[in-house]
Amino acid sequence: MPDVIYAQASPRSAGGTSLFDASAAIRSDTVANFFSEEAVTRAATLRLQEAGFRVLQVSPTTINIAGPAEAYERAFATTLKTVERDVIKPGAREDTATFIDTEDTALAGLVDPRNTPFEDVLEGVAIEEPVYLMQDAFAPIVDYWHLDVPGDVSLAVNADRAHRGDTTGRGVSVVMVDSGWFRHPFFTQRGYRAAPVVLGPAASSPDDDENGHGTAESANAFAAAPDIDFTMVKMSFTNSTGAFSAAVALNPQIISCSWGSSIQDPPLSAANQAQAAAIATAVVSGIIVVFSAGNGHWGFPGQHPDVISAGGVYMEADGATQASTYASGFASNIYAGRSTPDVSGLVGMSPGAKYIMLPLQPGDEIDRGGGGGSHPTGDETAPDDGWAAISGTSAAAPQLAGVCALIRQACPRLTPAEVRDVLMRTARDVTAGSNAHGNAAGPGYDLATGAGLVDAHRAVLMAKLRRQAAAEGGQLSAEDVEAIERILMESDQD
Amino acid sequence: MGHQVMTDAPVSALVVLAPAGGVRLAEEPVGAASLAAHLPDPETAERVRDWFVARGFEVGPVVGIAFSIVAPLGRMEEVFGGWEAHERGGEVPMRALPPDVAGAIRAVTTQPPPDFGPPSW
Repeated sequence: MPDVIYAQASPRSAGGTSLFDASAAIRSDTVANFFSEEAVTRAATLRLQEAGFRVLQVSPTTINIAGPAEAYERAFATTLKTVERDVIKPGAREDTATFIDTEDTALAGLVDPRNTPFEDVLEGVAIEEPVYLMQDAFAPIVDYWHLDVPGDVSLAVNADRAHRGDTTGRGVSVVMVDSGWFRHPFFTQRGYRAAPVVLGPAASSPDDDENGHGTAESANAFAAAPDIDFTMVKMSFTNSTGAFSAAVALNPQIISCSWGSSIQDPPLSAANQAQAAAIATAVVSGIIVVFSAGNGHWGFPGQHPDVISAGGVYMEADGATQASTYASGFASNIYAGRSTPDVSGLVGMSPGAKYIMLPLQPGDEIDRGGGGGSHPTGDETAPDDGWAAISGTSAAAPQLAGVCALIRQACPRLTPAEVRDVLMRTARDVTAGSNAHGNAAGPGYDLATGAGLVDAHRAVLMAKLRRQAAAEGGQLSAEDVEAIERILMESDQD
Repeated sequence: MGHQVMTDAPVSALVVLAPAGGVRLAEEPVGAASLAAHLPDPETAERVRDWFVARGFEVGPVVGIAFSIVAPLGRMEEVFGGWEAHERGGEVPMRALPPDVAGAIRAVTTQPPPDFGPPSW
């Protein structure tokens, strides 16, 4: 039983019919019948206060009160009890909740004041019931240039055309390691497939994402590949390697990680070497591993040679692209010959990169911390609406992971290195702007955006051609690759 | 082992295993091409895992060169002879471990939160 119980006490209605009468039809044209005489309301309020209740608000129909269970039981000569009833909690999650009731009446939660000192002024006391925040599956409207999921992100990474060709990530398992995953209506109402959250070492509360980052960024993966089989591994922030290893143990086809540390120079710590070994183990076993390159950081494991390193490209409303000033891109001092990123996803600009409107758990850290304010420092959303505009290379990694799922569906035999090769060969070159490290974009590969902005349609085309070529006679020759690239060029002119 | 009152807060750490081939961990960064030289002996890895399991730890799979352990703070203090403030990451002293277990381990370490991603978005 809670310490404080809230209720609506109804002073006797002027029209003679109780507010709680089953036949009472309370509409705008009849509500006046349920108003109470002012003198009755005043007397009821006074008596409730004398009985130990706090009066929170008085309206024409009810008096909102609060008090301990003992106050109700003493004032109304009743016994309160708790009852578990079925409810639907946020995220369309079927569960039970604790309701407070009495044996007084057949109407749930109604306390009967007859035969008590309140009989002449009250017709009933309705105990408040648990209610749950409802999130909107539609993103809030804000007045600045940004991308919505899934539509804008899918269009900008050229995934719509792949989807229309029935390459949607179906049958491909993607695991994300992050802060957790909240079953937001954005996901459930679109019918996206997500397994129950798996807890990493020392993580707890599988149904909640107290931070919001994992929930939000996962929407990028679904935007690129709506039919993936998705699982979130929720990490405790002090054992990211353990959480990654839990993801490897699930043996998915793709692991996407939107986090990392900033490490410019060797040597790596034992923990980072263990993380590097876990990544290498995953890739050796055929798992594609995508990591964010960083947001101005010397991102590790984003610079690990076996990962697909995700950088950032900003797209304007007219489709023009430039390197994101928020995203990392650098030559690694730890791994000789390694440069990041390999290829880029969609990322906003400094400051804040508030660029992609993403769903999250209402009132979580990001919703509260980033809500409100004016763009570009604020995202102009409410702090408890379950939506926030964020991005960073945290958004780029799951976008690339989604495109990897499309590639794997189109050509399952491709190794992680071959998938990276397909992504890089088919990316749209970005030649304007510079990234957070000051590296300028130019023709061909550069440290600003890698090979450029990921192009799902072209990547899927190349994967299909590789599958076809392999079926017809094994490995691709240099001439085959040239022919494929010619076909891709022609497809761009369609 | 005497009865002790333990705190409930679970603490997690990584047990990084010593390589079977004797290569030093800091000599080269681990990647797919060099992974084999860093891998522990599988039987030794299993013996170390079992040692922690027998002491009530929740133990993760060996992936690469390490596995996770989780236990209440009190158990960590009991087994490692203390548990200093490792929330920011760092290696845990192994002097309280039996020599045959400590000898198979390169390091027991905690990790700091990531610099970017969920904690800082």
